[in-house]
Amino acid sequence: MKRPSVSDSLKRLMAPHSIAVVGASRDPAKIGHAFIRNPLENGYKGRLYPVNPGGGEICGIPCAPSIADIKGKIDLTVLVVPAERSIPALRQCAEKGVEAVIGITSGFAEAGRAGAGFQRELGEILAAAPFRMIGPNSEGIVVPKSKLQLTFSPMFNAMVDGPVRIMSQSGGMSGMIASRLAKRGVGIGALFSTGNEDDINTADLMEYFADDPGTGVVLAYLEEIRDARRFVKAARRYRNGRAVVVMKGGRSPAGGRAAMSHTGAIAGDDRVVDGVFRELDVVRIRDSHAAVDATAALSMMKWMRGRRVGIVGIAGGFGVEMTDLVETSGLLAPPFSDKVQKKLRPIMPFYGAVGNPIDMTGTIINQPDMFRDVLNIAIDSGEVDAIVILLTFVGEPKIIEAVIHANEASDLPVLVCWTGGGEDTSPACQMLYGKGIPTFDSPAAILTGLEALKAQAGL
Amino acid sequence: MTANVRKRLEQWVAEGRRVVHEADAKALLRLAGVPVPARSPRAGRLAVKLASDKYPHKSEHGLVHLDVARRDVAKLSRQLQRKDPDGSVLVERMVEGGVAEWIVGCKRDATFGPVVVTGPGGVLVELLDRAEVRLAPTSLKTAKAVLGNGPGAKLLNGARGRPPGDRDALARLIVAASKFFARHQDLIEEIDLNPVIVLPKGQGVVAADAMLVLRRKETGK
Repeated sequence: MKRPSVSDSLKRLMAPHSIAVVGASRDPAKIGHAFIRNPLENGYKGRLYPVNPGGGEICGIPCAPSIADIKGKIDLTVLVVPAERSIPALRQCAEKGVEAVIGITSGFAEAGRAGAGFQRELGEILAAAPFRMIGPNSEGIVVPKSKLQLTFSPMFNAMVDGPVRIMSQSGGMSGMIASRLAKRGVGIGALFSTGNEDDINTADLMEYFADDPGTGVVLAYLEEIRDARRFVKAARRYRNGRAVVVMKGGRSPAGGRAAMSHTGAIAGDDRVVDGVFRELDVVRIRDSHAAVDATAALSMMKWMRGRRVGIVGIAGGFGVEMTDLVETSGLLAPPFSDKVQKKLRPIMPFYGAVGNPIDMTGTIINQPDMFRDVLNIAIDSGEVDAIVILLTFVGEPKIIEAVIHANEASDLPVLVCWTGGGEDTSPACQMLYGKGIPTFDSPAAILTGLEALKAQAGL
Repeated sequence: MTANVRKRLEQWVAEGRRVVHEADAKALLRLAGVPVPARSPRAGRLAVKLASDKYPHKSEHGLVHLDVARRDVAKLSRQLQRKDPDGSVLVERMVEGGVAEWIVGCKRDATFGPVVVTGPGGVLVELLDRAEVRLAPTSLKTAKAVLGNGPGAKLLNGARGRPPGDRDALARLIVAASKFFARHQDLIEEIDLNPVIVLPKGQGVVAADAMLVLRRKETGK
């Protein structure tokens, strides 16, 4: 049996007309229930088939006893049954002509010797299967455009469409990152919890999304890089105008051989990952919190061409902190030239600062026009490669409008620090989020964003 | 030429050789485009070493003698040879006038396959511990970029009043070593060129020491 192409399967997987959930449960507390409830509650319009030999209804839909008993065509099957029951279910999927499968089931390779038997059978089925598979040991997928929230977690409910694609070998990690990005208005077009990656892996997904014009930023959480050669090839395709962020956890399994040479001793796993990522302009992230800030900054799809950062703020202390952070991380905060300072001086209070950072002080609350003019002079100066705006908690609509206008008019990255909280529900933040401008809750969070932009540009 | 190089490597692997000493390693690497010091030169000061598979780290065993006068070579050679009758005495021109020492190495990474490693060499390998890794084979553009912004870039620019080093020649050596390794990665486990002496701009670079580690017979082809 010829296997279908990954791209054909992914197209079907991301916009299925019909989904069967094998192991659907009537008990609202069970994972098998969430795979019916979550797509329904998030507006999925295709057909849902709960499969449960016990019969009855789930969310008002009658259960089929097995895949074979479903009359209509099934584009996608979700497996939520235990490993021993998933093997016959997979064989039924093959007979029925299901086009794609998501394996939520655990107990395969990740279970070591206990799962070895199931793993072997899974391998045999996949070698000749007429479908492609995500997982097993996956948490599901989310595609907002198709109103497809096909996971067992409510953390993915708030996602909206946008340039980010998330692929994660850990479902929990992707849930945390997706929900926080969504709260900051960052659009995520697709999320894959890839699980054990026995069939479709991260390199496949990166290759697929490299061909997708809607994709701007790929964020991958990887414990193991499978198919590294294809990963490298795919990553190269995101250079120039797009970004790849990888959070690499753990160490590669075959590392640790005693080295005979200096080279072997100094080039450990971690340094190799660092070097290869730098070669590919892949942004390496080491903690989940930073992954959110890095992805938020990159999601604006504006890129740095040099290392100079202009800092515009209304509170001296954060300006000093931001400058220190910038200058100790290989970025620069050079003072604006005399020419620019001469333009700023007359419109700023005499006690404000015009070098870099530009500090407009708290008077700004009464003079939003000054804020707009100063911001525009800094952006138009041509003397910086990115702009940081330290808003603290000042959300006057005219100031927010000035930020939005400046961001739209300029091709410089514009990062906004809102110390009132990074995922703020204030009207000011909601105005910014509506225009695709995420906020950052501290100068340190801004720095993570700037460092990601620097790495993306290979600076 | 490549065929000859391969034949030799295959033979060494078949013989069960694991560490290929400096003299043999240099002879092979020279064919791959890696500059090495002139052997038994007619003029200039000399370095005399015992190259032996048994002693991959020669200087720890007193097997490296630098700045040797011509008249002392014969006696020194006999002394060295006595330490290991299977070793080869290597008499080379001393490399002088270097502005920086560099390490260039290659190894197979479990995930990414062949990689090339480069950074400040000699004693700075451990002291700075700032080597950079790139995929092998690497391009001249990538090699130049690593040397341009990587760690130790200041050393190559000519620190403390020294002239700037021959960065382009160093980049070419990195490319040559990485290509050689990638082509023969089924036979070679690791390459160490340390130190590579970087001469002033326009005067090139020279691998003052070299070692190959071969793959084991069963893992080799």
